[in-house]
Amino acid sequence: MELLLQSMLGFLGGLGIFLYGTHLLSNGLQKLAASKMRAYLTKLTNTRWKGVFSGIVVTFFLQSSTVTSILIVGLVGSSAITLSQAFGVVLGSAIGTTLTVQILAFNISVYSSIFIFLGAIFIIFVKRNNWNVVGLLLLSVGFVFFGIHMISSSLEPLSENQHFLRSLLSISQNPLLFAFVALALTALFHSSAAMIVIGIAFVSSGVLSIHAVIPLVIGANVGSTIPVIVTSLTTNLEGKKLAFFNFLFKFSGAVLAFLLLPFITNHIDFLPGNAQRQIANFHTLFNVVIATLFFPLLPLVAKVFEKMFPKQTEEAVFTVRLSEGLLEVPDEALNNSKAEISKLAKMVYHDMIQRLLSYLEGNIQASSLRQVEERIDQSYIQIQKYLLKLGQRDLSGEQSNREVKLLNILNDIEHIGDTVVRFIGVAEKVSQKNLLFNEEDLAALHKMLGHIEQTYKNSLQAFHKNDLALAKENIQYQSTIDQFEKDIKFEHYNSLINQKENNPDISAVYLDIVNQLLQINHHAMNISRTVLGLI
Amino acid sequence: MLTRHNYYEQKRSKIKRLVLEVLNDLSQMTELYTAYLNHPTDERRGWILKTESDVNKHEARIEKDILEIISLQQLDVKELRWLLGMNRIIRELERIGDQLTNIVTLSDVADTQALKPMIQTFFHFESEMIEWVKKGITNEDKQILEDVMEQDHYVNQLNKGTYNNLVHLINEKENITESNLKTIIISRFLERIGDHLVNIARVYLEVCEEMED
Repeated sequence: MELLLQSMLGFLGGLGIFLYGTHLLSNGLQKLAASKMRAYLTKLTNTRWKGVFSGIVVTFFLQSSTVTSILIVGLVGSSAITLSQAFGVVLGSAIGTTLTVQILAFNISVYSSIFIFLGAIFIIFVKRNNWNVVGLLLLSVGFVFFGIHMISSSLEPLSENQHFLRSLLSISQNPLLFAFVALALTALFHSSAAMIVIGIAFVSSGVLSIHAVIPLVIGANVGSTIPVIVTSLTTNLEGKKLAFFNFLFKFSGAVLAFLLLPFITNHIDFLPGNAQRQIANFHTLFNVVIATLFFPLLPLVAKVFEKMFPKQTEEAVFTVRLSEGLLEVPDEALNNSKAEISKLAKMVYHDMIQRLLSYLEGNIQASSLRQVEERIDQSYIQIQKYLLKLGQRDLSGEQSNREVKLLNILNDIEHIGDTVVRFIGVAEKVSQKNLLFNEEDLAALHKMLGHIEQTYKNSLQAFHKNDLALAKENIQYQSTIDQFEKDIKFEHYNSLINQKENNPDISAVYLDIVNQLLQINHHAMNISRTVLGLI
Repeated sequence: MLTRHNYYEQKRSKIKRLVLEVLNDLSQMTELYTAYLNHPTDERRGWILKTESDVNKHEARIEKDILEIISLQQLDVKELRWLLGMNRIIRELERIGDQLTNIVTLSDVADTQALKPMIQTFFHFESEMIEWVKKGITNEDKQILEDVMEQDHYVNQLNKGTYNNLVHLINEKENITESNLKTIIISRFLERIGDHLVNIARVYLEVCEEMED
């Protein structure tokens, strides 16, 4: 009993170290290469073949099919690649993950301590940032292999424990049940590699035969799609399509493999290598075969999915759509946040700024503008909360800078909403106090609204396209606005004097309106300043 | 913990880096000219003129950056002074480039042997002054900038020496050659280079003191 407990503790410790190692490795690689891989996927996925190849390369380099699928969701969402091409990447990604297991099947666990030692030295003693990342990668590779070593060595004593062997054999004798257990555990670990490594350890320690482990490999393949489906429930439509395609693809493969299970069991020994390598080879072969079978069907499957998941009609009311799952890939989370802020900013333009003139002319009610402001406030809270959560992650300098810019721009948009409400409050005094502005003053207000619209439109475009030249041009226009402010006030005093008007309320309300409008312009200008980097 | 890249700070660093690059270019021009004096060829002459054209390009870029920053950001007086100081410095640097070009243009291949000793002596002091200006600007080192101003005293003496030699030749009624006349003009150009370096050191010293206040 004590032996069993010791083995179980060793097994859990090893599994923990393995999972932490893969997590560190994927995070480190992602920080190093996620944005480059995104650009690579955009450029080299113009055919299905290239899609499959890109999927293999990107997943292997990022060491995570989840990250690859998040990148593809972003690309399909922005129409950079088609759904059929994205499905090609998913097929490639499935093959890419098997390469990791191929590497893990090499018996190099004994060198794990060297990786850990070098990684620790680089992290602790080398001050340069690039070497720190290298250190982190070495450390994580060391952890992965050390974890495998711990799992294998903790299982070895169990091969002599009859009680344990009997229990495991009874499960493994029912292939469906064994596959289901593997599926559930893979979904729990978020890692098919971890499950297959356990299978390899079972075989290498003599606990199970290679034939008994086949259902475990099949179950692990299907299990890896479950966390993606769960995450997709809170993502956009493209995310759902890809997650369900991934499941369909693996599940079909699993059904096929179970139908052919007797054949596979009889022929698995023909695969090259020792027992551990044969398991890794079966994992690769399983994915290559189902990818080959699915490949010609991709356009058809894409059409079926387009019908199954019809495009949603544009929502009448702006709603923030940000997936928590994307926080794992900060670049994508930032891209999505930018897209949501852009949408919010457009709403502010159409539903608020462009309607200020109509409001002044009495064509729309103040309540409709106030409703827009409430929506801005709600969206602001949601997006800011998301960005702050993202900021608590380990962001690179570039990502952090992007986050600061997004927070600033979001803040300026929210302030525009607040200022419009204050503007309404002041403008309401015109009717409350029965004030009448003269034609020159009204014309000046119209002109000022024109300036605001232009400034905001330019800022929005500069933000959307990251157009620094436009942002600069816009900021340099500030001096014209400053002069306009002086002129408008000067003309106002003169017109009052010419008309022998001495009601102080007219001037107070008019100048208050002007000030509120200038404040809106100030926030619109701030967006350009932030885009440029004046932060 | 979030970090940010500020556009103004990036531009400010870029301006400083460009000024230091111009100083490097000028240092390279003096080296190229010394090489030209040892082995005068059209190719070497071409290199010097090419470097001077680089100096002019850098000057234009720095001016453009300064104007851009002023048009984009409301700056406090200290920062404004720093930028204006850099603008003055780059103009002085551009003039040094002009002076060196004048010397190259004025000195024919036939004159190089006669001019070599004098020019090398001037360059000995002025190369040192350029290096000190570079260090002074890089490290905001006021002492080294004061040393530059001090060193100009030797450069002025060299110029005075060249002038006295010519006066001596005239008094002795010896033949005054075209080369003798060129020597006095080139000496004047070299002396002006020292003055420009002093101006640069003075401006940056003022900027440093202003930033400290």
